Amino acid sequence: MRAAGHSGSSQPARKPLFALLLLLPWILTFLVFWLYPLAFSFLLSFCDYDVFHEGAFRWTGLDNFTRLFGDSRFHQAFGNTLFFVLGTTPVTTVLALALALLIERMRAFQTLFRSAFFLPSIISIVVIATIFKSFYAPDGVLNEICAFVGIAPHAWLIETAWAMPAIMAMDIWSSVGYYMVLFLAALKSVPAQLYEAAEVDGAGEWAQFRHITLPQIRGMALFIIVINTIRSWQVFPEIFTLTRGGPLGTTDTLVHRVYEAAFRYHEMGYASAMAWVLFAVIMGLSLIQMRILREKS
Amino acid sequence: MRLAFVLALLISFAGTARAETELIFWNFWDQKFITPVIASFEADHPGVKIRSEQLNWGNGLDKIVVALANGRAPDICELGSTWTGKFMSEGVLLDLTDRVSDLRSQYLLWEPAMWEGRIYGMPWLVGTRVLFYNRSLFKAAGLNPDIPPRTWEELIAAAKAIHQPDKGIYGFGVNAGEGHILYKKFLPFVWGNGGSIIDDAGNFCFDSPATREALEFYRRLMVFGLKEKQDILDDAFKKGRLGLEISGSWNFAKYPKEAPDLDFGTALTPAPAADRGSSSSFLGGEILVLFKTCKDPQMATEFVRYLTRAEYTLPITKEALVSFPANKAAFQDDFFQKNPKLGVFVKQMETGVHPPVHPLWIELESIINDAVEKVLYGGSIDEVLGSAATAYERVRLQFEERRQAAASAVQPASLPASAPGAILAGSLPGWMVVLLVLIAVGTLVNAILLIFIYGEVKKNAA
Repeated sequence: MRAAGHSGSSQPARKPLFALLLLLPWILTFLVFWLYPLAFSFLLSFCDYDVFHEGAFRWTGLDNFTRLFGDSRFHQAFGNTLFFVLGTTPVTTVLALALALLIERMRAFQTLFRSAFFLPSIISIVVIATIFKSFYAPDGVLNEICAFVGIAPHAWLIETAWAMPAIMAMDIWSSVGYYMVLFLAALKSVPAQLYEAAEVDGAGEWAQFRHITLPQIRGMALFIIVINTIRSWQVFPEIFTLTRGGPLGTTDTLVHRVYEAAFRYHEMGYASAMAWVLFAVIMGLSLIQMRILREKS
Repeated sequence: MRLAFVLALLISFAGTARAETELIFWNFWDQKFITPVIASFEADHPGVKIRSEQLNWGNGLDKIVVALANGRAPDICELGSTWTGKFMSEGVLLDLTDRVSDLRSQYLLWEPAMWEGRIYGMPWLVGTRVLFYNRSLFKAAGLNPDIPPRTWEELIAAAKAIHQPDKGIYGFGVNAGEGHILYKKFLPFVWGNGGSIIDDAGNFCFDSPATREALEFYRRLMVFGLKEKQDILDDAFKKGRLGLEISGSWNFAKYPKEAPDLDFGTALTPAPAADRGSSSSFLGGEILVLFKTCKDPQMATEFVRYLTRAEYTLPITKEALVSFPANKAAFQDDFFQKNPKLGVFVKQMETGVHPPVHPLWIELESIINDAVEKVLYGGSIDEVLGSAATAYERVRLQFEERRQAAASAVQPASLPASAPGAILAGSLPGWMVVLLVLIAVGTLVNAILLIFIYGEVKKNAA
């Protein structure tokens, strides 16, 4: 950047054009694959769009949005997604932090454990879901463990009470390693002198954690909580591979509903409206989270 | 230089591709079944090229719909037989009545290829489901393995005799957990009992006494059942832990290899009673269609007629074992005499029923799925059937409303199409346009960077 400014100083008129040219590849993909679909789906959410006929749009105003309010499936999916977010995000975050603290203190085999926990996050979620499908099967490993401990077997993905928790457990297992690595990075950057000074002052382990570690990694914690929340609101591939929203809609989530509306019932306008409601929810929550966590410091 | 070269190369490619007729054919099969047929077709028809592209069942329908919305539909396409109603009623398929009606008597599965008396597709493959039963478990439970259950009561009795859940042995495989396909599993009981979904006058009649009886029977049966997904049921059957299930021919690809000792039989699905109703099953399959944008309907029809011949469909059945030729001549092949367990499928197809071809089928399907699933989880039959009727009424009204609104509204100007893109896209396929633009931009940026770096280096040197 500094070099560009330097060369531009002799020809000031060409500077913005030059910057634009450098940015062109990115701007182009941004416009074609991001902004255009975004604007298109926004317009679509006020339309009835018949995908079977090219260009058959019909302006319906707020109809799609008012229909959402009366759609009991949408309500159920909203509740399920909220349950999923509340059930996974805090657990994943706390677990990831705990694992990071443990691993950071290990003298030997640190790399081994770090890699082991990180491994699930490089595997495709569809592959993980397929593995868990057999894990949860009637004669799967989980039921064998249950039998060993003396708990009655369950059809984990078939019973209405267990299907969602089973998927949540899988999600936590598959994502905790990724956040753990992020926490580890933050922990490594805490200056060692702080701990040394605290030890001289006679601060215990908990006091050190509370007054040094936590404030120092606040930035990373905020980042993790926000992206984890966003990702959890958008849960879809696990649902699609394992249950398709069943049994009785107990695992139906918002993005799965959007998918069904768009690609099963071909109601693109209605699906866009749902997607924009989801967008508004995520946007609002992210802003609130950032505000709350920032204000404390 | 480089840009000019690449451009020239791309254009010459596009040029040669258009010298002969090339027809795009989208299908869902392993290409080893398709390539030989295309090769012999091309040999018989010089100057014609068929390009086969494989879709997958996970997102194939999405792709077809999106391509259609963009005006880029393939010339020839394989459609699942429950999808065709939507496509035919939307008027996007080519009318083939004059081109294939001479084949009417020689093929099965015309129902999903027909709309308002006209033919819009060619039946290719057909599949159905039959009753599988474990002969060893029959013997162990004191049942005669040579007499599989023929009525609903006999089925319940057999399931009850076999069912020992504490030993991990179950009577009947009840499909659950796959809400989107439950209709396939349950509707045969309704059809066998004389019921249907839409009556001849076009009214919803799923909430009839015939359905009520079938649901009551199903509820009694599921007490002696394992509630699971189809693949887990098939697996339990393979391991000898399931007495009876209704399943498809795909099992023959696994059972003989993975469980050679499994002693099982197949039979027609049970009828409601010896003196009432009939054996029935779900009939589905693959229909070949031409979209209205087809470049050469004459040649495409020729290909579709060629592809559905018994000699080209039998290899699919023999190797993949998931479906059967729609061409009845294929059933004369001694393959079916040599495999009586598979022969049962051919017999079951005579009484198989295809779900109604209806513009709202996808909605109907999910209404039925919901009803069956609610009963599976203990819902009251009265309430379930009541809410199914209400749900259909709502969907129908919405459909009518939309149809009227669309008819009265003047076709609005379509959203602004990217004008320069359209000019390019008119002469080149879309991916080529994108590639060209990317290459052009990349080369440009490269050149600018080089000039810039060169300038800097020179300045520093000075």
